[in-house]
Amino acid sequence: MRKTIGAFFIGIILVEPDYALAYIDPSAGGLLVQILLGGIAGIGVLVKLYWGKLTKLFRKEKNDKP
Amino acid sequence: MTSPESIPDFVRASGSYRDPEGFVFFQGDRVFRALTKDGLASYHDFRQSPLSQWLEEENWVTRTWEIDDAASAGAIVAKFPEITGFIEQSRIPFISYPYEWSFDMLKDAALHTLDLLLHSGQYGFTLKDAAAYNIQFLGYRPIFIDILSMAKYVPGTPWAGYTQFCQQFLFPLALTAHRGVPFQHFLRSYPEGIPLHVMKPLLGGFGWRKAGMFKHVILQSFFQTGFQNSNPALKSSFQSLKFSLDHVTALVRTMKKVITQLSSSSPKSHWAGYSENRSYTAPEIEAKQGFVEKHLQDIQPSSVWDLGCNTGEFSLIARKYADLVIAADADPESVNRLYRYCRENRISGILPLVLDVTNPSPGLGWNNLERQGFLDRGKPTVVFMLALLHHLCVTHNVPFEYIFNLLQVIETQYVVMEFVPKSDPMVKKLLANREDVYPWYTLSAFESEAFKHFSLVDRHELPTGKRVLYCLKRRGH
Repeated sequence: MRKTIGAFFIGIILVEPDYALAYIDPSAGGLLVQILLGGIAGIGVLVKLYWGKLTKLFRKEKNDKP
Repeated sequence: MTSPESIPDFVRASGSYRDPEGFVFFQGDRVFRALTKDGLASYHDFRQSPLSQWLEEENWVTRTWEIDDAASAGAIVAKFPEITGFIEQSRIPFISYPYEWSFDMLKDAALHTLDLLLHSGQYGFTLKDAAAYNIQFLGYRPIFIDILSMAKYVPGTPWAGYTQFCQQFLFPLALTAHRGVPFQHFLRSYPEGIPLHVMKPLLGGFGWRKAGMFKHVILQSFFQTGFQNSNPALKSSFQSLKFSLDHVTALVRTMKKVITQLSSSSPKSHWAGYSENRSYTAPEIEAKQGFVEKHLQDIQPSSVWDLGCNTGEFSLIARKYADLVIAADADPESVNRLYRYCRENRISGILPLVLDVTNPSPGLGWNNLERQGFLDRGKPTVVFMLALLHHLCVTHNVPFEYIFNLLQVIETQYVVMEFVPKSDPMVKKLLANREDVYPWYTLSAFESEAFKHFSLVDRHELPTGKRVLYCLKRRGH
């Protein structure tokens, strides 16, 4: 279980989004922590959320090509 | 049955605007809550549960009672048509704020909030928020005052106050426990609690290794910044996860474990050992205590403010004669020692507060009215300024005139003061490395300023030194 969580975080750190000082929903981070602590199903929800970011990254690379 | 209409004017609490289900207002010395239809229904749910009776009997929450003839509260209903009901609640003798609490006060307030969540959970209730301002202190005992925050738990919803709890309790406590930085000034600057983006760098390079810090600071910050642009709607996620009260309880339990482990690690305070290291002889201490006690007996004050209380030696005497003693000192560690002493020995009647006389808490929040300034929160019968004058005058360059001006603003009826002359070893120490630019710091100049505003009740020279004690009464009172 720990390894799964570890691998998951290595994955999401690779697709860490840009940090910007925009308006931050004060509870979004808190909600996601709670989702993660919700167990295996919670990790599933997070993977789903990050999946969009991951695919967006690849889409960007594709678009960059001339 | 009493109605708020019996006194026509009401004052709405300026900090009470966040909860859509109602607000607090005052009439004279009484405290009421005006409730909307939803607020009233939620209050009825709570009252009908055995939980409410238990919490009141155990003094976990402030007592509330409904006022039946709400329709007669015309002034409020006319202005706020959505209001359908009223409750009254017992008044807290002196409101204090988290940025005035010592480490163990904030820690006990945090644990009280968590215990309340855990206990309410057993009855299917939860708290809508986790604001530290919802806790007040009756002496050393924390008490929850925002009864409208108590609501039935809705299945499929998270712990609503999680982030707020982190920002208003966990982060400030961790800052002091792990970094040795007093949290009070941070909470004064951030009345909503220390934000994540401020806490993360404050935690330092290895801070994430401390219990709970990776999860509640690093991870939460990561998620928060990660989704700031997309801001996903997470409501349905909680429902699909079948998030339940069990999940919330598990998280609250984990948080309680983290909070319990935190302890104040600030470097040994210079002031906390002051009462042991000071330059008094035993007969002087006795004479000083006798002087204070004698005048308290005569005055029979309702409240005493012991300014520069150190570890509260004279507050402990004052509590025998006054209903309420505010024991204030700028040194968080001294105040914490007094709080722990009162808690361990179950000594009521003293409210220890971290407060710098040269910079008392101002009005804060919206319009600077949301949290009242310290000086606006009450009028003491007696102010103690014992072994304080030389610190104000020599360390902070405060002229005598300013000191008596402050006492006028406070509107105290009496002041018990001590003049410490330049020949005293403590003043010599203060002057050791600074130029003596205080030719005005003399007994006669002090007396001449004092007697402009106060009349002399008693004056006593301490036996061996040249320190002089005064009991003064404000003119015109």
